[in-house]
Amino acid sequence: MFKRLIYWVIVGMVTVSCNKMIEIDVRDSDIKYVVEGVITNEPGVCIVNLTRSKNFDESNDFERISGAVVKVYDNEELFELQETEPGKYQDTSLTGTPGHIYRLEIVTGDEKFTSTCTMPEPVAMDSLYIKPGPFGQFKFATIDYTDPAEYNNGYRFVQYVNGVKEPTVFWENDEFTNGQFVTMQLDASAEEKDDPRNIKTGDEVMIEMQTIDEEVFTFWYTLRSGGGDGAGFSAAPSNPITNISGGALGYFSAHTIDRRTVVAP
Amino acid sequence: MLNKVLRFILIFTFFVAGPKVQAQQTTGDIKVSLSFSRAALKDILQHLETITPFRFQAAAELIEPVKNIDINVSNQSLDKVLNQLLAPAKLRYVQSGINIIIRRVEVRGQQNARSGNATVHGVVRSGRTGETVIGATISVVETGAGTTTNEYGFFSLTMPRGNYTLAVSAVGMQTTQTHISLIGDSEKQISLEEDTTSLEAVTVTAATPTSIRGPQMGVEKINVKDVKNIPVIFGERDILKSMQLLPGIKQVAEGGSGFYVRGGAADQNLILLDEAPVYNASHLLGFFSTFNSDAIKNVTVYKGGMPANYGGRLSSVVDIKMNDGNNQDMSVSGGIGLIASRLNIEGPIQKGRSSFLVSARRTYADLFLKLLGDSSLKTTKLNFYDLNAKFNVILGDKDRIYLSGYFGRDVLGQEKLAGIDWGNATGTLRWNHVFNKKLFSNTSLIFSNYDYKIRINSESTDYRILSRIRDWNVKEEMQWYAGTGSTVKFGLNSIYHTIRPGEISVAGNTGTVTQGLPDRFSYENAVYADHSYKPTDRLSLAYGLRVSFFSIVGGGDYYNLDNNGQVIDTIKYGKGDIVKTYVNAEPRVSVGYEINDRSSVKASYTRNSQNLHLISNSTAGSPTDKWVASTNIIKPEIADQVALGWYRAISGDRYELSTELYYKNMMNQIDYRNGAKVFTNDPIETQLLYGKGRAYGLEMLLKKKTGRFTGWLSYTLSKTERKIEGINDGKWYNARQDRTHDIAIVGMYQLNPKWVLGATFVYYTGDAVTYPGGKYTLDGEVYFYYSERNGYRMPAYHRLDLSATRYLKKTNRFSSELSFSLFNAYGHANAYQITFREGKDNPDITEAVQTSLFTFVPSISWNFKF
Repeated sequence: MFKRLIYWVIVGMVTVSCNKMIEIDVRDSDIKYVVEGVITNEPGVCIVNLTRSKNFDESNDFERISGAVVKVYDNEELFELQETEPGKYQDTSLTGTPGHIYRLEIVTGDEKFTSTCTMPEPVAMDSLYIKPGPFGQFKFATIDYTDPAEYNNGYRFVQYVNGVKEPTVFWENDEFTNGQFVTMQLDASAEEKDDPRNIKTGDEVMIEMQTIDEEVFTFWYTLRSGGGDGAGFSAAPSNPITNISGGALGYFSAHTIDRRTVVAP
Repeated sequence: MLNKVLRFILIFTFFVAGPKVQAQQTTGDIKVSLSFSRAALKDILQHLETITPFRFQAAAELIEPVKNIDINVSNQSLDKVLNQLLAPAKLRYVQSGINIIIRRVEVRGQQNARSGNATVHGVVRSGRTGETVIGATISVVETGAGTTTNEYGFFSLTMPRGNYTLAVSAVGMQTTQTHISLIGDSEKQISLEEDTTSLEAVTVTAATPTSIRGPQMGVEKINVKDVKNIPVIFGERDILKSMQLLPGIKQVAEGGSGFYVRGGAADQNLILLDEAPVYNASHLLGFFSTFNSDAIKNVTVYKGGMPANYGGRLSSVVDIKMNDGNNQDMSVSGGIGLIASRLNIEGPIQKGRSSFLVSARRTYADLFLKLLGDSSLKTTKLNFYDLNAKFNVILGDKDRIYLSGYFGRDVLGQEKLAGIDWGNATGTLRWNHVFNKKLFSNTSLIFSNYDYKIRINSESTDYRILSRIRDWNVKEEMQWYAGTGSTVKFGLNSIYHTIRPGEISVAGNTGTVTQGLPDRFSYENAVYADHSYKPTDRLSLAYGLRVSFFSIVGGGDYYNLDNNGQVIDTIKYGKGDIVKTYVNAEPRVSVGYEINDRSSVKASYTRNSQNLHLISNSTAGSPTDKWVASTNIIKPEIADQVALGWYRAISGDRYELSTELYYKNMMNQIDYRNGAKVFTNDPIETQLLYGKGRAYGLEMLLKKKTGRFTGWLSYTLSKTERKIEGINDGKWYNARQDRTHDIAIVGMYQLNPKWVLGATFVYYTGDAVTYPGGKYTLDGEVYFYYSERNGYRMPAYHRLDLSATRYLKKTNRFSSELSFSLFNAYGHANAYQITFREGKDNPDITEAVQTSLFTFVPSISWNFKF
């Protein structure tokens, strides 16, 4: 929000700031395993994706890693995941339960990656509506929820407009709003009115509100603040702090889900 | 093209400065032809200056009476011609380099040499305004001895009893001569007239440029008049931005007034306004500096070798002195520009004894936003104002009191959404007292406050962030002019800091959850002594010691942390308890050796310590950067710097070349941890890492100081690195401000009495930045993988700015001028930021996008004075 303000100030002062594409020459980077493990309180969602990173100047077609042994322990009860597509490991019998501790174990070749995550108690939206943002230029999905006072809560919001996922990572925690009635506006950083990311009348907006554990919050927070999304606001870009041990990138998240849909007026 | 520019600069530097070791010419070598009848000696010497490489120096009363000379020679040696001219008037000359000093046949200054020494002291002032003149050179024509005035215009000179001629010169002032009979100790008040632009010669000029003399190195003195015609963005004259055109001083970001000195961070500069520290010297996110040049007299920048009276920051001292206020006449000046307007009123309260000055400035950038017609921008506020005020009174011969204040504030925000306002306030009460002819004292009581307030309103939750640093500061300094060329300064300084760290409070619909962070208290005390003297004619030496004592005072909680920055232990301190005291001895030594009248070499060693740290995570300076004091965990930063310099005057004092080499080692440098939270109510120490830094480089500056064309050429070759455990795998990495090459060319040309043209060209290697080396996918998106910190470079930065000033009709009382400027005249799009995104046309690739801010910014302003 604050960065947006500064952005406007600069735009306002200069009125002629300009963007152009440039060529940059980057050296090859080391190739890392990337783990994305998700367990939700929706039936049958226990999915682990195992991929590898690529060099910056290559295509966005990422290598998927087959043949790994992937295990999840639900309060020490073992579930062995099956590879349903290359690099995608799944168990359809597991449904996440708030308060349970989940442990992930992946073995591929000589590498072993592990992680633990506790599924937090669910927090649901009170309401979802579309409202113009503070500058009046763009419309934003707006969510009301009540933060429970008894826990340290972290949230992630995923926005879909007409079924298309918004790439911006939205997160919030209750460091400053513990126990409050909170209104959250999701600013998708649209820069022009005709930007497809801007919500227009008649658009169907679906919001997925996730209640996430502290380490997972840290992951999403540092992904954005460290410049992992390429936005360039950080003077010292760095990789997000992961909850996976063993040298892989990515995260393992056991979270609860609340979904709502609204049509933009 | 830039390679060409570089080569040109190197060739040029060599050509002018380089191996021009041709044997020194003497007056016997040069043949001249002259034909004058009934001419004044002064005119003939003036003519000789134009046809020979020599400059003449003489006391006016020696040569002015010599008139009605007839001379007609052709192809005679200059030696013979001079003897022919001077002998009848009982004058003789001695040659010293290219200077020819004319003396009486019998040198009067030495007649009574055996009868002991006496001291003359006094104050140098401007005759028109009564302003004291800082750094004026007082030289004794007969003996070549000399001194300079201190920051209050005071001087004291001890010599053998006798009759002398003092030549007093200062930048922008006409050189004046005054005759003294030093029979006993005496006082001499000197007033200088402001320079009119005519280029009179044959007056005494300082025999040697001041940069060559003495042991002080790494210093630049900036006179506001000197930089008047340098083009700047939005046409607002700005002393901090002009300073960034000097070697070793680098701008933080485009258009910004923040700066890095010799590899130091932006917070390692001690910026003093009338001795009060200014914590945030920028307005509007750094596009303007807080110093309104109408109110400023003089700026001195130390990049190294700071004398012991300065301390508390690692990299530099920027000592800014405000005008005192005209005590002769009422005067009003001001300017109207596109972005800001200024008004300055000063005048005597009691003529010659007391005066006041009020100088105000306000911007109206927000009016432009209204013009944009976008309703969302109409409610945006974007302005700043500042106010300088000063009052001073002379109480008898021995005392003077100054009261000065600065108040500035930025307001920036959007009514419904968010706002920041921040500002500095400083106040200084000073008392100059002359104990006796040799002992000068200055006592200061200083108040300084910097705070910012941020509000962010979301639909139901309002955030408020408040941060403040407030100082009470007492300084006492004594300057003892012990004898010929020997000066001792000693003093003490005590600052009481109250820091409110960035405290965040929240107002929600159902009440307020505010986690207040308690105020932090500390004492920053120091004692120092510094002695400078000349063991021989050619050798000068300054050495000093500053001992700083930084005491952290309770109450409050202090913490012990584990390696991951988690709090493992909280220690509670009661009010007034001493948490910790850091003592640092900071030696300072510098030595200068004058090889001859035209060149000298110098060397220095300086240690500085710093106990206030600015924690910053933004690419450009932001008002939200946090000031924190040392704690039990945050250790004082310490820097050791060694420097070597070579200084040379070329063609008299028309050109000046200085070259300095430095190496700096920095300890206890601070940076944010990877993934640190900038806004958090957790102890700040949990977000930080500590390490060391080093910086080294070569700086060259070639100045042309006189004539219709003036300006300088500055080049810096440097390296700046950091090594912090937890960043870049604990290996050395380039600091963001590491720029290999940095070039600035500044030129000002007096086209005719009506027009002055100015141009600057800047080129530097792009900042060190972190680019992603790899990428990966999560949740259907592409994210970036970073391996080396600051392992890449932004594209090189270069820019040309132009200005033209038209002097409008001038009457006795009223003068005005129109200034035009064009920032970034060839419109090069310099990278302000580089971001990465999925290809717009081809989502299968990744694009790098460069954002540029200023291309072609024209401006016009009208300045007046009456």
